[in-house]
Amino acid sequence: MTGPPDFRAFVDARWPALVRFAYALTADRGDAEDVVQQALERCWRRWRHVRVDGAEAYVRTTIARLVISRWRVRHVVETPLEGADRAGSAGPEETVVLHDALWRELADLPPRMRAVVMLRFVEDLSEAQTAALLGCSVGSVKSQASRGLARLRTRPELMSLADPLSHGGGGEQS
Amino acid sequence: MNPLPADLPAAVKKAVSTHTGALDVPPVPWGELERRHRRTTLRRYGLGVISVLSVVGAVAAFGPGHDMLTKTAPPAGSPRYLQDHSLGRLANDPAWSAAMLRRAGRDAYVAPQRVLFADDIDGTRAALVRTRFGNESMDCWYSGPAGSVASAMKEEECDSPARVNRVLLGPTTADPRHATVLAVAASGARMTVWTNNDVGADGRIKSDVATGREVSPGVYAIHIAVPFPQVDLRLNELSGGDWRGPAYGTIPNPPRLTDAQWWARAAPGARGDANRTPPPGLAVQATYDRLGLRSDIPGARVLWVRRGSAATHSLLALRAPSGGWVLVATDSTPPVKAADGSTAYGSDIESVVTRPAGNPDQLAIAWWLTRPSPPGGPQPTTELGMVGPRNAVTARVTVAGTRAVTIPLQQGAGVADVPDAEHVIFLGRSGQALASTTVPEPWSWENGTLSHQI
Repeated sequence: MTGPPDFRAFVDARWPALVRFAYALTADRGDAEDVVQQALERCWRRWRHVRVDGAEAYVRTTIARLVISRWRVRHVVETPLEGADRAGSAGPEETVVLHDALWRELADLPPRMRAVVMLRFVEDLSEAQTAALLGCSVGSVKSQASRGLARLRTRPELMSLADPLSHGGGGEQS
Repeated sequence: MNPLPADLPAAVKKAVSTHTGALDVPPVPWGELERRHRRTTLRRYGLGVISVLSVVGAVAAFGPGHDMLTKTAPPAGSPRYLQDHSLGRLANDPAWSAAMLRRAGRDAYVAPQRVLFADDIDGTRAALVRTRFGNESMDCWYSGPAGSVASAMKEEECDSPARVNRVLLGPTTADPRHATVLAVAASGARMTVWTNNDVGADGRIKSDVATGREVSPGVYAIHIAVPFPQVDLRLNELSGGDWRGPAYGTIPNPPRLTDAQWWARAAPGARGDANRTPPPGLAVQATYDRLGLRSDIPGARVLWVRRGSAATHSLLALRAPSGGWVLVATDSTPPVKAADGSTAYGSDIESVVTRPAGNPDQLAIAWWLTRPSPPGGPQPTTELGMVGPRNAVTARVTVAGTRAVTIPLQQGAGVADVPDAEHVIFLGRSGQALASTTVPEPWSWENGTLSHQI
C-alpha cells in the first residue's frame, strides 16, 4: 500500500476543485468553503490512514456527507447583476436564463436530494457509487434522483423556459 | 404535456458546470485551516488546556461572498457593509480607533487594519478589529469595562471574516452574574440563544431560550446568567439567511469535574470488559460541555466499557436536570503525559440519544463503534455496539430492511459486525421484547450533539 500524499500538496493542488464540488452540492459559496474546510480538517486528523490513490475520494466523501448532514443548509437565491459577466455561459440568451433558473431551482431541493442529483448527473457517478459515497442504499439513490428530476420538471419557472431544452442533446440516465 | 424534454440531466450538468466553473475560488486559507486543526487537536488531546475547551471548541465559520450578487444597499452589519463602514459610536471616533489599532498591533501575530465595530454595550466596551494574519483577514474581538481606554482592551476571540461575527464576553464587575453574547450581523435579524440543554422526564430535549435585541443597527446583544455549559446562537436574517453556531469567549468556567467526583458518581456495575476504568473526569466534563449539559446533576453512570488496543469505547448515561437521560457513546485514547507535565487525553463523541427518566440499566441504545469509512479510506469498520436492559439475552438486528440476525448478549450488552444494521430489538430469556432502538445513520453529524436535535 502506498503512503499518503503530503497533505499540504494535496490541498494546494485540489482546493479549487473541492470548493467547486462543494459549491455544486450547497449552491452557496460561503457554505462551500466552510464545508471544504471542515472536511479537510477532519481528513487532516486521519491523513495517515488515507491511501494515496484514495485521497480525493476520501475528502469528497467527507464533503458530501457533511453537506447532507448539516444542521441546516441555507438556501440563498442569488440575484444576478444586470450586465454581469457571463463569460462562462456560452450559448444563446435563453440557455443562459435556463441555466440560471435551473441553478436556483436546484438550490431549493432538499440537501440529500440535491446531493444525489449532483452526484448522479453532474459528477456522473453510478447509483452504486452515489450510494456508497452518501452512505445510503441504492434504492434511496434511485428514489431521490427520480423525485429530484420530477420536482424540477414541475417547477413553474422551468416549465415556462422549457423550449431551449428541446434543442439539447443527451438523454436521462437510468 | 411534458414540460421539459428527456435531457434534463444534461441541462442540469451544463447549468451546474457553468456556475461552478465561473466561481472565483480564493487561495487555500491555510491560516484558518491550521487554526481549526489546532483547535480540534487541542479539544481532542489537550487536557492541559481543557479548562478552556468549553469556550474554544470548533467553529463553523462562514466565508465571505454571500452577498456578492445582491444589488441593493447592504444592511448595516452585513459583510458587504463592513467592507466600507464601521459600526458603533467609538469606531467612528478617529482618536479612539487609532489607539485601538495600536493596541491590537501589540499582538505580534496580527496586523490590524481597521476597527469594524466599537461601542459600550451594557457596561462592557467591545471592539471588533479587522486584521491580517499572513495572507488572510481575521476579525478579532477586544473587550473591557465600559469606558476602557483602548490600551486596556483585552483580546478575546479571533475568527475569519464571517457572515456573523459573534463573541461571548464574561461578567463585568458591574454585573458579575451575567455574561454577554454580542453579534454583528445584517440589520433586521432575529437573534436567539440556547443555553443549559436539558432532557425532561419524557425524554424530550429542552433548553433555556432567549431572544436578543438589536442594540444598534447590525449589532445584537443578550445577557445570560452564569454559569452555563455552552451557548448556541442563531440568527435569522430578513434575507432568509439562517446561521447557527456556538458563541465563544474567554469566560470563567464553572467548577470542573474531578476524577474523584466522577468516579464516585459512575458507581460500580458497568458492563463490558473486566478492566472497566471509567474515562477521566476532565474528559467527561468536556463531554458535558460539548453537549451543553450541566455537570452537577447526580446520577450519572458508566453503563458499558470496551477496551481496545487503540481506543476505549464507553457508554455513559448522564442524568439531565429534569430527570431524563442522555446516553453518550464515546471513544477515547489512553492518557499520555505531555512534555509540559499535563495529561493529554483524547475523546470523541460517537453517538448521543435521549431517553425518558427511569432505571438506567433498562435503557437501550445501538451505535457504530467506529464509523464506517468512506471509499478510499481505511478498512471499513461496521461494528455495532448494543446496550439494552441488563436482563436481555439476545438482540435481533434488522439488516437493510430485509433480514434479521440474532446476536447473543452478556448482561444485555454486546458487539457484532453487522453492516447495514437499522434496528435492534432486545429480547429476554423467553424471547419477549424488552426494548428496541434504531441504529443511527453512520457519519451523521447530528449523532454527536444535542443542540442539533433541539
